[in-house]
Amino acid sequence: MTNLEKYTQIFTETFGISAEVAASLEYQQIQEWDSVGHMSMIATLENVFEIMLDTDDIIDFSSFEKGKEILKKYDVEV
Amino acid sequence: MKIIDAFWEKRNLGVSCSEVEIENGDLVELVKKELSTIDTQYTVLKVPSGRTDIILEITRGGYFFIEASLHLIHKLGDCHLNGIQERLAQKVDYQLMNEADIRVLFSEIASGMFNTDRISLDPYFSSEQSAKRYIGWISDELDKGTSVFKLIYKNETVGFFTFKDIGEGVYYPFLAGIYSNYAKAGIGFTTIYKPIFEALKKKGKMISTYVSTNNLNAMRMHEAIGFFCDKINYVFIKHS
Repeated sequence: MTNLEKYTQIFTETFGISAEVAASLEYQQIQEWDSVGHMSMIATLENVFEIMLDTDDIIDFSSFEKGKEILKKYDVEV
Repeated sequence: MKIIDAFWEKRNLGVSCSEVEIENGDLVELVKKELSTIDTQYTVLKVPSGRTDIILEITRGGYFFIEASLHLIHKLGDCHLNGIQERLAQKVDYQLMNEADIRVLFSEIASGMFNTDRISLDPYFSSEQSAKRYIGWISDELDKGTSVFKLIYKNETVGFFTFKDIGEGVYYPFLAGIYSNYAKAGIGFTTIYKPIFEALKKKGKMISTYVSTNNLNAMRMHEAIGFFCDKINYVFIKHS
């Protein structure tokens, strides 16, 4: 599985959405991506990629696309 | 049942208002009779869950369902935070607001901080009236000595919570929120967690609060932190 597939799967499984919806998803665009969903998604992301995000990055993680940029800082190319 | 003259809503919303609280033992006939005496422009009626006999009667009388209000409590002993929440919570501090902070808070509220309350969702009212009501409510509580705290992340104010002492070690954070610049930051849970922290500091026993079913995010956050529901009221409204 590629990193992009793993990354997409985190969104599809956490929020119960399709990969197509995930690709353009932004925070609070769906009810499931609220404060609670955000923590759950970040927790899975940290487990899957074996990283620990800085709090600024957790706060800045506002969309699927933004998340990809943030992961680069942790040497995770998506 | 209790019929309260909510005179403060004249200032907040511009209409006369009665708030009616139905109690579990109330008889339908008595409720019907008492409601017929109300002549305010806006009436809010709270019915305990399970009283479908009263619900059927009041809907025949022109009352419309607007929300369910969940009474949530947290007994402070068992506060769940996951690892990430814990990391974020450690970075978010809180401090009592001064007058300048209150002005910033009111400006945030006026710019549309809340949109799931029964006023902003009611087409008879507007989001401006909703904001005015919240500002009026907080001002009244400040006059009574209720504390309002700001939430701080890296020297920036990111949100607030109110903290009302209702006696016997029980605290009621009746309103909380995240400021617009941080509304998409996933830190909403700190508005719920920090009052617990403050109550523990004051050696309190319990947090008591209300959440509307129109605010699913708030319900999920409270549940995630260990609140449980001990009472539900169905809320009906009528405009005359």
